[in-house]
Amino acid sequence: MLLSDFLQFALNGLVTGCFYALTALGLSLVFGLMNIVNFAHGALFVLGGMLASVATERLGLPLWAAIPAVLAIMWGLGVVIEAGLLARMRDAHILPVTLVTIGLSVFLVNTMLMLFGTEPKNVKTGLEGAPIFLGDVIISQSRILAIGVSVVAIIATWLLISHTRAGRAMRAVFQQPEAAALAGIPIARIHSFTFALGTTLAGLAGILLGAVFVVDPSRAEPAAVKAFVVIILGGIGSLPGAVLGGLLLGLAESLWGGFVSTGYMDAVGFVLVIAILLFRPSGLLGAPASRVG
Amino acid sequence: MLELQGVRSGYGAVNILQGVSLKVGEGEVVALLGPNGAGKTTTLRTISALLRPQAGSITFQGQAIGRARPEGVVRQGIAHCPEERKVWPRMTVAENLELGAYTVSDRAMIRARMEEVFESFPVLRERRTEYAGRLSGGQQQMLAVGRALMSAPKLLLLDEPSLGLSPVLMQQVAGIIRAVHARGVSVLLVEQNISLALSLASRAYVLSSGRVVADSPTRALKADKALLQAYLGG
Repeated sequence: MLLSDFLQFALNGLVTGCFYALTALGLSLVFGLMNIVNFAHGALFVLGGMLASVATERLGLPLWAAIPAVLAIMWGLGVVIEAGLLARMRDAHILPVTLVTIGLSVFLVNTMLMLFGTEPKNVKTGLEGAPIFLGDVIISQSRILAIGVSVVAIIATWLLISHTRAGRAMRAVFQQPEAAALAGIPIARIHSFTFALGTTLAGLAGILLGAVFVVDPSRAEPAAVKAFVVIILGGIGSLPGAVLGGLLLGLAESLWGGFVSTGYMDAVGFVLVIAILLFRPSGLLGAPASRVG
Repeated sequence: MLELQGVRSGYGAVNILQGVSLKVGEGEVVALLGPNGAGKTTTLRTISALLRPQAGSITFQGQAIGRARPEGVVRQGIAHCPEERKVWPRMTVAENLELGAYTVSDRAMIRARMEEVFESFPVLRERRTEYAGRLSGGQQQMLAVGRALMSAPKLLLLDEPSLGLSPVLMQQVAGIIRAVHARGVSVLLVEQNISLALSLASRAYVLSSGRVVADSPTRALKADKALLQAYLGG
């Protein structure tokens, strides 16, 4: 059945797309607002999944308790990384900052290998019940959970940035820092908050990945690269672009893998980026010379 | 109300201010004049704690503020309208104004102040949902002044408010400075347009190479042709 195959692949793609969107959203926040090219984003993504695996498998916490606990740790880690490394380089050129994030990524990945080993880990969801049939299309409960949580997180992030005082302060600090300082906005705190938010979104994506598939440290680097592909695809600095780019890449990979060949799945994203950039050099939703706003 | 004593300040190891002392009294409009590079903007940036003084003291209403953070200075009641406007281009006019009152948590008060700003600058009301980056230069200047007033300052630091404005708009900005002053707000004004500055201020300091070279009532300064010639080009 071609149509049901198509729907099944599309649904699978949507799940993967949600991971991509959530990961890219955090990266895009940090990149678009703070102008930090965070190569450690993939490692933070994996770390979220690893911690959730420890919490659910080893400590036996239920998922509803493990998620907030892991997110709180990720937030704290984001604050520590920002204060310990990035705050010192706030006025530095983008290249040394990038080098520092690459170093951080190597450190995090190797620390995870030491602590958790190379074996892929699973996050226990407690949703091992029968999958749900929608006509000929099958979806597991954990995938529904992943889609639901992603959608909520994406909408919450958007509301935070566009409609709250903290979100306005974030945009102000990164659009025109001097005016923000003069308005009495505590610049250092906003930097810390923004980076912690990006880290937490990465961690959440990692948790959901572990709930649907598996996580292991070797996924860190490809995840970071994919997230960069997604934000370039969507338009650098555009948060809706990051979400759209993520969903699109997930769909494209899944349909390609389903109908053509799974061998070249990872190449599809890059072909897509090249094709789109040929026609829209600033990405799908990135206005020329525009950033988050 | 504001007093600087022997303030040295600058960027990195380079001191631009070589010991600046000045005072702004309660309800006074004071002009800070001088050639380019004299340290006028540096003086304002040091007062609002964007720069930390290397030496000397800054007090505001009896409180030392030389070691404060910028947000602390704002909370004390000093607003700084920076040179080149520096509005947030990809935020709306209303958002720009709201953020000007970042240190104020009372929503009703923020709304009331925004209403006051809209009364002073009706064009901002018309364009309140537009991105500030789309406003004309004059409108952006009005927005920058309005934003500074949103924190209900006791002292307003204005850096080149007439820059890039047409003569008509310049008169409008002058009118606003007079209105702000009439409400009891003190003003420290940096201005290239000497005649505008002298018409607004009651006293003026002339800075040159990071030092105060003259401190006099504007009436006396207008008569001092030699001084005007030497430091202010006419």
